[in-house]
Amino acid sequence: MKILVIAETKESKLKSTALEMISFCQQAKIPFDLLTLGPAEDAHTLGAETCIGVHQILSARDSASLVAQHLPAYTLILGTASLAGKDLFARVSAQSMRHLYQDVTQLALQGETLTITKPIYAGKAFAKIEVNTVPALVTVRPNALGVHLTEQENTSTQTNKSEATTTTDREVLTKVEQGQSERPDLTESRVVISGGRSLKNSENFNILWQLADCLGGTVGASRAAVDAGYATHAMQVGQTGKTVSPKVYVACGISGAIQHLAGMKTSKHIIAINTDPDAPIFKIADYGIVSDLFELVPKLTEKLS
Amino acid sequence: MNIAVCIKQVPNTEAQVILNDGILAFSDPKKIINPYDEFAIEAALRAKEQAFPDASVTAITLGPESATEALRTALAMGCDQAIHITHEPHPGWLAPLTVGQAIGAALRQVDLVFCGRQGIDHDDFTVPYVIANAHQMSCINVVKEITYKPEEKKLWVVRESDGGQKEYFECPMPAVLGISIGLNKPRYPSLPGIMKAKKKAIESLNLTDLVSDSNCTWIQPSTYELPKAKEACKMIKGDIAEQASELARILKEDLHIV
Ligand SMILES: Cc1cc2nc3c(=O)[nH]c(=O)nc-3n(C[C@H](O)[C@H](O)[C@H](O)COP(=O)(O)OP(=O)(O)OC[C@H]3O[C@@H](n4cnc5c(N)ncnc54)[C@H](O)[C@@H]3O)c2cc1C
Repeated sequence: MKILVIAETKESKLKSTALEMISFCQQAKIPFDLLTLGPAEDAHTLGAETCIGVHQILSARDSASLVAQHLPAYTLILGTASLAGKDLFARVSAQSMRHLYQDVTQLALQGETLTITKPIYAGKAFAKIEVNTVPALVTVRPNALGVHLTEQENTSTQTNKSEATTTTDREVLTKVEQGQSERPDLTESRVVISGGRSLKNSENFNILWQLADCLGGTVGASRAAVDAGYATHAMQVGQTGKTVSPKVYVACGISGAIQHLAGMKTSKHIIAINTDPDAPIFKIADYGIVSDLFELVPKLTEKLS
Repeated sequence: MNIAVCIKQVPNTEAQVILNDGILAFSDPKKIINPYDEFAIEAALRAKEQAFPDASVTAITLGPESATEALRTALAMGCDQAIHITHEPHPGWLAPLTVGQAIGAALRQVDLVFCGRQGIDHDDFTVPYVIANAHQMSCINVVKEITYKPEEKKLWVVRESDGGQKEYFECPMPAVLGISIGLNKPRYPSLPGIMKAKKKAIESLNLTDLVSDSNCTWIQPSTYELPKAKEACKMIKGDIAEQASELARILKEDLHIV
């Protein structure tokens, strides 16, 4: 029994999503190998038996072929339920005809039986599924497993720098335009400050950005704010937007429609700021403030900085 | 020139989940077209209107009897014909690998396939890739922009990735595109469209004729759970300054976020 962890990297370091998967392997005491898609200086120190480092940027198609090549040696292949991770794993699943479970929030491996829990119907329910078809492919929702790394004594992992065979690509990536790379990704951020229709325009979102920057977080939006053009589609949280599970989610002027809740309900701590004491968002919030966000949010930023 | 659009019926987003003796049900039996698929239908119709005027657009679904309604809507919006892949009732759901194989087998000859980026019921994000694999097609998911180059049999496609990153692709046809919201504004079915849709053909195929028994995998959860009930919200009282101070304290001392 062995796990292959496919790790995403950022600025030559493993992303926290990779550390979460490694924590899972360490805690379950299951041997694992690490495949890093991009340079990761810290990859060797975490107890993987083998680190397979891919140092050049590969196309999704080539990365998928590489993972598919390694797949038969493992019981479970773990990756991140990011847009890049889900894309990669879907390609591997299609190529290898192995079943894939996306966006899993809990997993346990006993013998050859893998049990996963996966939110369905936008988190209105959770399905526990026993998977008997190994090797299985699983992507894990960011922040779902948590990072609990234990010190590893032996760091004598061997590195195979494997060069991927370049397939004749059908779709050719011609250009990449970075998003806001200085801030954390919405789906991976520990803190998300979201704004709704009540923000009235895109400039007003700056007061949310100021609070987010002061907490090391990022900004999300309701669909009403996106549809009105105050925020970009990439910022939308909800059933037809991103699913986020940060440590702290602050909903500013968001009513709490069921489709919005679907995208943020699993956040660890939810704070709601709304002028309407009966807004449904308070039903799922841990802390509530009945106030005008235009007054409260700048005050809060001031107190924190 | 054949264009296909894959659609799925999903529970109404307003519906609550009810769990009775371990059996899952919805407070509202009404079903809707998967919201992403509405953008896919619009994209398919625009591909025909703007780039491939002689193309025929086929809407295809795999699902229970009721899924015919979704096909009728797609036909009323302007699709030319439809395929309904039916199956025996089952308490679980079909693995995305099986769905992709079935649709791949049903679409015999196809140049462009549009799908929603994922179903909002199980969020599998997998079916488009399996269809693409069945026909050795290009595949790009989370598509935000498309430009057609019909003479070159090519597309220019922009995909969204993490952190708002935009990826630009030159993509040869045949291709499968997974559509995200914001690509277009789905049209409403017109009254004449609805009338015409009643006369358009819906071909019925059976899952068992498309996928062998050994390749047909159902996902049957062992148990379902509802999210844990939340404790009552702690309301922070006082004037603005007091509320801001208390929230700042909570963030620092209780949640250790600062
Ligand atoms: C199929 C489908 C999919 C959908 N998907 C999504 C999705 O992914 N994400 C999503 O968010 N929505 C989604 N929606 C839309 C959803 O139903 C709601 O319409 C939307 O979430 C409402 O956004 P809102 O809370 O910003 O606006 P509103 O509902 O208009 O709420 C505004 C809130 O701001 C408060 N407010 C006003 N002024 C202030 C102030 N000065 N200070 C503080 N509070 C103030 C008001 O009291 C109110 O509660 C979907 C809908 C459908 C039908």
